[in-house]
Amino acid sequence: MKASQEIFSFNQITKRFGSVLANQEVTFSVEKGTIHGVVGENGAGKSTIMKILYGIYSPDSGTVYFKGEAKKIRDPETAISLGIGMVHQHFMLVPTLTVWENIILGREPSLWTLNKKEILNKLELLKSSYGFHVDLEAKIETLAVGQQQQVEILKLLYREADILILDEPTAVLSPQEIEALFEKLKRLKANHKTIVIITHKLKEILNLTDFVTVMRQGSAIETLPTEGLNESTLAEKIIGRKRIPLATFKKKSPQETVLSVEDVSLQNTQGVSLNKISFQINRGELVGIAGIEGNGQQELIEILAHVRKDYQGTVRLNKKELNDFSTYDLRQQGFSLIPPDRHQEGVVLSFSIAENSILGHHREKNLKRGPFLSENKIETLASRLIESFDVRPKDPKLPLSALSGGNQQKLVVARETLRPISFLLAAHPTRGIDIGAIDFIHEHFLKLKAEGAAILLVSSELDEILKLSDRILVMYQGALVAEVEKEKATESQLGLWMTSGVKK
Amino acid sequence: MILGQLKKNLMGPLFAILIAAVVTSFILISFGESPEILWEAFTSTFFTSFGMGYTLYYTTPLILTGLSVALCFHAGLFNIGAEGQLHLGAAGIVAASFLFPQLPWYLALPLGVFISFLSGALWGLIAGFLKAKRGSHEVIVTILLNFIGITFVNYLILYPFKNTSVQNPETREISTSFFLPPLSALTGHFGSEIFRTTPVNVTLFLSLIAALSCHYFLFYTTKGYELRTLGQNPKSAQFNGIALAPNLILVFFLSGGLSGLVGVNEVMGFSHKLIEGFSPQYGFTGIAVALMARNSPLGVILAAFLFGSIHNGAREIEFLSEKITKEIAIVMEAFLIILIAGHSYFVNAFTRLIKRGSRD
Repeated sequence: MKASQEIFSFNQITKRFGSVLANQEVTFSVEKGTIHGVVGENGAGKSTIMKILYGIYSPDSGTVYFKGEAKKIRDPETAISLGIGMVHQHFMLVPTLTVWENIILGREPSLWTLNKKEILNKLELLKSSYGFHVDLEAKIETLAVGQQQQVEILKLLYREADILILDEPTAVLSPQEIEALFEKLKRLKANHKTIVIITHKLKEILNLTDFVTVMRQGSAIETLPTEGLNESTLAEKIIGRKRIPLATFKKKSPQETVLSVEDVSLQNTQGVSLNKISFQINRGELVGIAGIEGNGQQELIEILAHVRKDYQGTVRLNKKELNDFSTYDLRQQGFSLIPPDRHQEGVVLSFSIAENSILGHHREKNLKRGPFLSENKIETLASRLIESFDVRPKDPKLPLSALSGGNQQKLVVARETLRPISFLLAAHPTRGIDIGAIDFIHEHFLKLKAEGAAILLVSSELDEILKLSDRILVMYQGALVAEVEKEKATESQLGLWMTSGVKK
Repeated sequence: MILGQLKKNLMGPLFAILIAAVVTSFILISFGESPEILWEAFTSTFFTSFGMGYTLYYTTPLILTGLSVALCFHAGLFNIGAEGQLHLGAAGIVAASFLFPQLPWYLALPLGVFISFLSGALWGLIAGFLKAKRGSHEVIVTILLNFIGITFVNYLILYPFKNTSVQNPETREISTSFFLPPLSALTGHFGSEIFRTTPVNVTLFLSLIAALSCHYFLFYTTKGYELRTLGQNPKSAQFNGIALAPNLILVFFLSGGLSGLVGVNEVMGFSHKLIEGFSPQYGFTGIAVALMARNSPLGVILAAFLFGSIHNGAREIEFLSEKITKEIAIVMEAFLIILIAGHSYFVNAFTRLIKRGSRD
């Protein structure tokens, strides 16, 4: 191994937002030509410290050293000129422009002339040397998420960035896309680029990184070489205590079908068509649907949630046909939904926590005083959700946008499960939230199951599916291609079904 | 806490008003007029019973159209059609009065209010219906409906309802049972002279009640909650059982109705007939009112009062000056709108400047 060389470091960085201490005397350094992981729970300060490096925030105290010199990074412009680039969790691309136009945006060679040929040549060279496959003339809106991410990375390389910061890069990717991304990152490392990756996923840290910095409650607890770590030791470092195995609950419910889906088909001109989907879920049963995103899960969820009505076949909830209900009335039949895309489908960001905690049940009589909605009653309800799921900060009057993604998700899960339910449709229920909260939610699901609820879990995380499900269905190109009992399921077999749809 | 909030929300508009006033003075000077005229117009608007009476008379329709636009905004919709809706509302009253001239006042008054609401609402409903069923963009539909609505009402004024005994393009007078008392009748009852000979009438109270109702409707009822959810995040609304189509139709119905009520102020409250071109673009000014109030129904009252006083001030300026006409109001309003619309930009630039100064 060659001699290590520090490229940047943080020294005693402290950053406050109002009364919230986001970073507290954070000190760690990153070596040139390595892949450096930053892990920690939601709100541990991972993104904040990286945004300080990228010049989005300026620290209240402490120093950033860049190549051994103390540097004030005022704004992203400065960071970019130092060769620091960042790919945000939500991409910053203009959907109606082409790939190459997006890449040069903000870095146009001059105001009046645009030598497209030269730009394209440079980009082609970058593409081939790092193994990117993306059509430079394609419009962003026509690209899959994984490809959009490639564009973001290409953009940084075009700007000649040496340090690439990736904030939760795999949260939206399929397993294949993740693999392809890691391949590229390793290639970048071989070309002496430094990569900092913020993530929740321990597996990725272990597979990919050379060093890892563990953050907890705003502080960098320790930085250590990844070699020699395993998942459970890393998890313990992150949550700061031993991970307690999930409690087990005793099954008591009789066999009784809650949800039955019969020959559901969908001709879809825009997305995926569904082909004769049939399955049943019984009381006290948790069924997982495994599959790579974009294989019809979204369409199936929309049908089950009764948002989409242009399908053939029948869906019955507690022996009653779905078509007999309005979308709202379905909720009153014990149907609960944790939607796949929280921001788009589950909440209203500009509303308060209190207002969000009644969404989907907002017509209930017990929220009203006379003909009017009662602020008191709504806030009491919200406080109950906040307390039982430890949503932070604990003020129901705050706008939801003031909460971190994980806490928003906790509120949605709380809202949907802290009520009498007979069927829960949970899509990616733990996406983007930390290990402690994941365990809590998983345990809560098992409890609901023991109490007799039927749960359909749709997730692209195989780990989650394998851990919780009694039975696993595999979805591939709009059809269910396999069904397997939990005991007989293996990760490799499932992976094969998910990617090819056939048994081997 | 509340005071701080109020201060924060009022500082921007106050600042904008100040700048608009300064700019207007410069315009007056550049035309060789003394800026004293502005001061005179100001004092007469706010400190004479006559000026205040007219100001409040102008404020009334602006509250209603402001609410009409704001309500749609909350549901994520842009209602440009207030102008057409208020024309229909006004024509509805005239038609009702001609159909039932013998009604006693206690039936005529509620009927007039109801008909003006209903006519405006049905005109608004067309836009909502087309949006819900056909996906037609409400901005285009409401703009076009304005042309149709105004032309249709002008036709009614010039042909079936025309007062043939005068040269002016106006309708015959409505029957007296439809007359609403002016505020001067109330103040006169207590022996006060306030608002004498001004057109401000009890419709002002109607518009205040409408603003309060909108506030409670939007923030304290289930339906209001649904509409706001729809406006902020239509997909979330859909996933949580809030259907798009019926709510779109409903909000345009209500919104059109609010604009329609302008007819009550004009026809039942003051002129007792319908005159071609009676609205100095109340419907379009309503957009500015809603913008300034940031769609808060109670804020609409204040914003409408501001625009009402500009209207009146401009009328006074025209009276006092030989060169300046009341269109100066449009100039001042335009400045206000630019300043308010760019409010956050100006504030951000300002605070950044201060920050940079203190950091270096």
